Amino acid sequence: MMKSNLLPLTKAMFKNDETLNNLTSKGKKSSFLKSKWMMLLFVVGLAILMGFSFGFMLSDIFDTLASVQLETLILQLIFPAASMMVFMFGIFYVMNVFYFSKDVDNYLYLPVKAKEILGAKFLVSLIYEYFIIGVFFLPLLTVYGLKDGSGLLYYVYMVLSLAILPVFPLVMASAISMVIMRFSKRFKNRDRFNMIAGILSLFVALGLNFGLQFFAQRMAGAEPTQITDLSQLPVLKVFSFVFPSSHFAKEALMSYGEIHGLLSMGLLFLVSILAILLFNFLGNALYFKGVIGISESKADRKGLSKEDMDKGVRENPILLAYALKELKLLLRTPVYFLNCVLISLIYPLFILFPLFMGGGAEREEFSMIIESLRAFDRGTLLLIVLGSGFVLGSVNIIASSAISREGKGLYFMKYIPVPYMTQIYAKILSAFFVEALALILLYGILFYLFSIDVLFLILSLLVVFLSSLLINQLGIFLDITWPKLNWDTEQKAVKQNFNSVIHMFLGFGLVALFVFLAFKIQATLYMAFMVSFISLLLLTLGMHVLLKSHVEKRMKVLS
Amino acid sequence: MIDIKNVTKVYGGKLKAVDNLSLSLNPGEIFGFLGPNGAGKTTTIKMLTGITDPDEGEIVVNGISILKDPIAFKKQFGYVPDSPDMFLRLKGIEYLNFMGDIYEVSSTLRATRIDALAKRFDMNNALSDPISSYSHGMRQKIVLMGALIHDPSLWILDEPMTGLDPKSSFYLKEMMREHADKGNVVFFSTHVLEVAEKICDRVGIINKGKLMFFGTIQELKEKVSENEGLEKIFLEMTNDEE
Repeated sequence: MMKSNLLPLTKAMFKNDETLNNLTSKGKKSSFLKSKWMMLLFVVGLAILMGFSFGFMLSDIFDTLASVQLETLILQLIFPAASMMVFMFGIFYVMNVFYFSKDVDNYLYLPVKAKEILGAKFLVSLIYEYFIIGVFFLPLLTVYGLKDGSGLLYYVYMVLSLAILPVFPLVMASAISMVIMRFSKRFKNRDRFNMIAGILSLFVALGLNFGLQFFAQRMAGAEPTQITDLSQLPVLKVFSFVFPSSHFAKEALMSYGEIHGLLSMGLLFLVSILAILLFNFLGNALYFKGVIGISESKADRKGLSKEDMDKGVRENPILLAYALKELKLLLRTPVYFLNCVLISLIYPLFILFPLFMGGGAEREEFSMIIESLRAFDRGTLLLIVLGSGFVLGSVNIIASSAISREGKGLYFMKYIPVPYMTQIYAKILSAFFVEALALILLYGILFYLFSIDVLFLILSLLVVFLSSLLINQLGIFLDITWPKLNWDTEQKAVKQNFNSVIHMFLGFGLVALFVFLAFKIQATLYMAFMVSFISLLLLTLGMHVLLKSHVEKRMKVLS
Repeated sequence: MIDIKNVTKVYGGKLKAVDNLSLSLNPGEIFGFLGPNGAGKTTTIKMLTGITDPDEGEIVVNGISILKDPIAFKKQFGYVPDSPDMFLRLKGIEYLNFMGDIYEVSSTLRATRIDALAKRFDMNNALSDPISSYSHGMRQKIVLMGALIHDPSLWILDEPMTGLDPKSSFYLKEMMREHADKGNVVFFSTHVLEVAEKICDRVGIINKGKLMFFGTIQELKEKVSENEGLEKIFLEMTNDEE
């Protein structure tokens, strides 16, 4: 009887769930992944792809480790990693599926039991976890089995353990989320959560990337004894304590032919069943009370004090007021913040990574480039700085998504008594605010590497400013020509926006041109400045004239 | 005050959303624009606000033509669109101040008007919160406040009563009357006949882009025998099966 409601509920929730739209850059679940067969095909395809790309790497590592009979180290690493990944994504899924989807109201009045709603929510999150398991860990363990020449029982254990493994860490993730949401008001804010989660995942991804490089370099010339030490890493011990399920799964696969393996499998089941009971208990106690009062944003309903009011009505010129409005929306909308603001700030940092993180060889190479640059004339350096200015401008997609971000609210631009070009330049100004921050980072690096003087600073800032203006004019020009206005989630305005891609390529093209010129001409500072300043000035003026007539024409058509 | 002269809007080369519409409104009037869904109300309002250009005809407000001086024209009115879901991530006060900057209202005047409007609509306690936290009615009110911040002579309101609580709805109607009595014009569209009957000086009924009736409620009632209600007249005028 109970089962009969659980599955339909799960199905309904899964179909309506928007978590994938929040998570993936595709956000295409609604169209491309609509049919479950397409979805299955997509996952299987991705798994095969991952299997091939990681498979070769794993098989190399397997060979190295097998020569010192340490190949089981792979299993010792894979299972805690899987649990950790399930746990981290679990927090994200549970927050979105359990809380921010706000669909629980639609189920409460149905003749279903509370625990069926809970169970269905859990299953939806679990399905998402299976995507990760299927795409990452299924191929890896299969390759391991093939290399090891394991028997059929290995694969049976593998499938079973992968099916059960996510339960325990997911229950942990739900427990933590439910406690937080029950007792803290601070996190009942979807925007804030997505913002924090987005920033954290970006840094985790960057950290993982550099961590892996670091690890790989160490592994390359390490002694077997040092490798053995890896299995004794405190991190792994902590993981097998926190996630006993990953410990049992690992044991089961390591000795699948023995009674110890079977026993471990049994323990894995037992732990997971206990976890489900715990989930059921906690869910009933915490979930339904915590889900009340979820909102997109916070509300105090406190009222304005006299000072707030005075501050709140401060006058600004239209251009600035409009640009500040744009900037506020960019900073407060998580998707915009991550894609338009944070990304533009991260790029200058990329220059720094090889400097501090790279291995010996890379580092030497890098400092050789710097040395040769120092030897060049200041004119060359100016053109290179100008080139980096173009890069910063073109990775900044604020201008090239400015019209698309208006979406269905574009009509606002048309009924307010502000000339279109003022609005366009206000949008460019908002892009420039963010770029200025990136420029400060860039100039910090320049000062550090080249000890530049004041004259160079002023001259280069002038041309960089013009280059930024030009690249942003181009961005708006593209976006007003092919705006993507018909979107329902903000994701689509910035992520499925092809204008930003074209814009980026145009920017990179200009960079290539300037770097080429820099090395070809080897001009003096004065000459390089005059030529680039005058040509950029002419280009921006020309672009202004072009943009003006184009905007008038386009705004008539768009609505 | 408002002159809509022989205005036509064609969509897709064929469909006449608005067909040779002419309306002339005088100072002191509340005008109710009635019609079924898809009759051309919203298209007319879009042309009146500069969101869409008419294919033929001209619109003049306070002697200013939208074609000749669009910016001066747009300063003449305050507009409340039918969907109030705008700038959800701004706080109420930030939105109002932004509108104040856009319409170049001095900061002292802004403060007085925000204060007065907030009291009327009971929005004092919500101004420091983001608009996304507002209910539909509150969003309606904040957009209305933003539209009135420059004290425009012409109010253009698209379905303004939808979602308002009875108290706010009452105050809005009262404000519309006051505003008109000062020699201004209120142009609003509605589905609700009772509202139109109560507060409009004149009404227009549009169907399939054509103006079927333009006059006072009294004149409308005289068109039919006494026992028939307004609803009946409306249904007859907008009847599609001829």
